[in-house]
Amino acid sequence: MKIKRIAIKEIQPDFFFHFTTPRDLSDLIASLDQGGLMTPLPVLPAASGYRLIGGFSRLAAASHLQWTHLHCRLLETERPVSEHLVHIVKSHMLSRPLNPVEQARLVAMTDLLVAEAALRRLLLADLALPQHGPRLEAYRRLAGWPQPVLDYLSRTDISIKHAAVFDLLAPDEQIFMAQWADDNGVRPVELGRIITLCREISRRESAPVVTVFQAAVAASSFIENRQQHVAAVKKTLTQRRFPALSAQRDAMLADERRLQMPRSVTLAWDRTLERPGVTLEVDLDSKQALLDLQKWLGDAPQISRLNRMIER
Amino acid sequence: MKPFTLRRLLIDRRVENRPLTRQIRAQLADLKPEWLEDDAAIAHRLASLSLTEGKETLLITQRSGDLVKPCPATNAPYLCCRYTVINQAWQCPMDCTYCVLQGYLEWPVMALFADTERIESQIDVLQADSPRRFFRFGTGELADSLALDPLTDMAAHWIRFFHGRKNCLIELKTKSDHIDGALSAPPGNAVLAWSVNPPELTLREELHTATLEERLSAARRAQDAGFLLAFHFDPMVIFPGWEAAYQRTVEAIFSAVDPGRVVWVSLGAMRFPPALGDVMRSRFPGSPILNGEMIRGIDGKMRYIRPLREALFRCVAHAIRQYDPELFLYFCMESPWVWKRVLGKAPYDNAELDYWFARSVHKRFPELKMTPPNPSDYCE
Repeated sequence: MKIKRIAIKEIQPDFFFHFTTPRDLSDLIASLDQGGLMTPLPVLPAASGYRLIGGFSRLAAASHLQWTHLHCRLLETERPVSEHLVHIVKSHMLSRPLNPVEQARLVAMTDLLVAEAALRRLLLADLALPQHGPRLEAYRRLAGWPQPVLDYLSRTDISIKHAAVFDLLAPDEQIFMAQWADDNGVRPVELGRIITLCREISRRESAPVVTVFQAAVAASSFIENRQQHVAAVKKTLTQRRFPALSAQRDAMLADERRLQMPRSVTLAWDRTLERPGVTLEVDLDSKQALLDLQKWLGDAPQISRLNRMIER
Repeated sequence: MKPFTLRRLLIDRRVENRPLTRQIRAQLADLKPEWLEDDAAIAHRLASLSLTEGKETLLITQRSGDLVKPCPATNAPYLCCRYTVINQAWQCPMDCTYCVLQGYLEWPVMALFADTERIESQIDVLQADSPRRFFRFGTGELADSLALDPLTDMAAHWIRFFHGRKNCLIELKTKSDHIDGALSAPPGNAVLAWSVNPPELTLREELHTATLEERLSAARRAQDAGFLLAFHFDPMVIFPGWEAAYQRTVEAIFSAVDPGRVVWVSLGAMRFPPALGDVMRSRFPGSPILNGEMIRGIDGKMRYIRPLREALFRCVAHAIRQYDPELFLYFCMESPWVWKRVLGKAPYDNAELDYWFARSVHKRFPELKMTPPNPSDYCE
C-alpha cells in the first residue's frame, strides 16, 4: 500500500462512486481541524492527476478548511476497480450502516461494474443483501427513482419495505408526494399509509392517485400548522376510503365527548368497531369517587349515550 | 355451464393402478399422460406451472398424512362449525377471483389423491371414536365437490359409501351443475350443496362456474331425486345494489326448491388473509372486490367492518326467515357479537355450534334416524 501526499487541486472526485448520502459536514470539519486526516483517501492515478473514488466528504471538508494537500492511498491501477469498490464499501460499513438509498446505489454500481461472480457475491453479502430475488429487485428499482424522492428517503431511516410503497406510483406522483412529505415533516412510514389510502381510493373511484392526493391536500391547505395539516389530509383520505367506518367512529367519538365521565372512569372502545361496545375501567380510591360514579350512572342522558355506543 | 379445458394430465407412477386413476385415464383417453416417478419429480414439474396453467392441469397422486380432518377454521373469538373435511382433491377448474385457494395450497394444479381406501378407513376411525356424535363430512373445502365429477365419478362413490351410515351426512358442495353422477346413487345421507351469490356477482367474479339459474335448476333436480340440499352464501360481497340483489337471490332459491328440504344455509362475508389480496390483484386487476371497507380482523384476516357485515347478514337472514323460520342458519367464521346482533343468539363455542347442527338435523329430518344429540357428546 502506497501513501502519498497529493495536492488537492490534483484530485478529481469521480462522482460515479459517490454512493453515500450527502451530509452536514460541520462535525467532520471540526474533527479534521483538530485531529487532522487519520485515514488516507483512496485515489487511482489517472492520465492527469488522481481520481478519487472514496472519501468525498473528507475531501469537501479539507477544501472547506483550505488545506492544499492530503494524504492519499494510491490504489493499484492493474487491479479491477470493482475490487477497490469492495474495500471502500467495507470500510464505510465499519463506520456506520448504509441506508437503503445507499444500498440501492451500490446495487446499481455492482450491476454496472462487477462482472466477476465471486466478487459480486462478496459485495452483496457485505451489504447483507440476497444474491437474487424480489428484495434485490426492490433495491434496483429504488436506485432508479427520481432524485427528490431519493433525497427525501435518504434523510430518514426508512426501511426498504416501507420505501417500496413508492413503487406503486408514477415518477411525477413520487416527486409530488415526496416533496409534500419533506415540506411537512412527514416520515416515510406515515407517508406510506397515505399513499396506500390514495391508491385504494384511486382503484375504487378510477381516479389518478395524485388527483386523489391533491384533492385531500387542497381541502386542508388553509391549515397553517404542519402537523394539523397532515392530520387533516389523513382524515380526509380515511373518510373517503372508509366512509361507513368513519361515520360510525365519528358518532362514537361525539357520544364519548358528551359523556362527562367522573375522573375515576376511563372508557375505551375498539376503533375498528370489530369488537362492539365499550370497556369502562373504574378506579375508586375514595368515597367521593364512589358517589360520583353512582351519580353518573344514575344520570339518564349519560346512560342513553352509553347505550347508543354499545348498540353501534 | 361451459365445459372446461384440460391440457395436461400428470400421473404419479405410484398410483398407476388405483381405480380412480384408471377411471380418469379411461375418460381422458385422448390426453397422453406425463408420468412422474416420485415426490421430487412432482415438485420439479409443478414448479414451472403458473396458477392459470394449473387450472388446465390435473395431477393424480397420493398423499401421506390425514386426508380427513377437522376444518382448519379460524382463531377465536370467531366461531366455526367443526365441519369435517375430506381432502381428496385440491383446486378446481373454475376461477373465482376471491378464491382463498389461490394463496393457500402449495401446488398450483388440480390434484386428486387416489388413496380412496385410506380416506375411507380414516372416516371409519373418526366415527368409531365418537359414535354418538353427528358428523358433517364434506369434500368441498379445498376443491369443488362436483366440478370434476364427470371425470372422476367420485360423488356417487362417496354417496354410496355414506349410504346407511349412522349419525353423519356427506355434503357435496359445488358451483357447478354436474350432478348426473351424484343422481345415479341413492340419496341416503347425502346433501347436495351450492355456493350462491347474486347473478351480477357470479358473472363477474366466479369465472367458469354455472350461472345461478343453472345451479338452482340442478338443485331442483337433486331435490326431486330425494336429496337433501344446502346453500352457502359465502363469500357475500358488498357492491352497488347488493341488498336487492341478495333478496332476489333468496327469492330465486326458494322459488326453485322447498325450504323444508334445505338442511342448512351458511352466511359468510368476504374475508381473506392479507397476502391473498396481492395474489387477487395480480391475477384479477380489474376486480373491484378488494375495494370494500375492510379492516384486519382479530384473527388477522381482512374482512368488512362489522356494521357492514351485520347489514349483509340481516338482509339475507330476514329474507330466508320469510320462507322458513325453522331453517338452520349459521355463520362461517363470525364473531359471537355478530351472531347475537343478527340472529339474537350465539353458541358458547365451536362445540356448541356443532351440537346445534345435530339438534336441528335431528328435529327437522327424523327420517335420518340419528341418535338423539346430547350436548355432552359434543364437548371438546
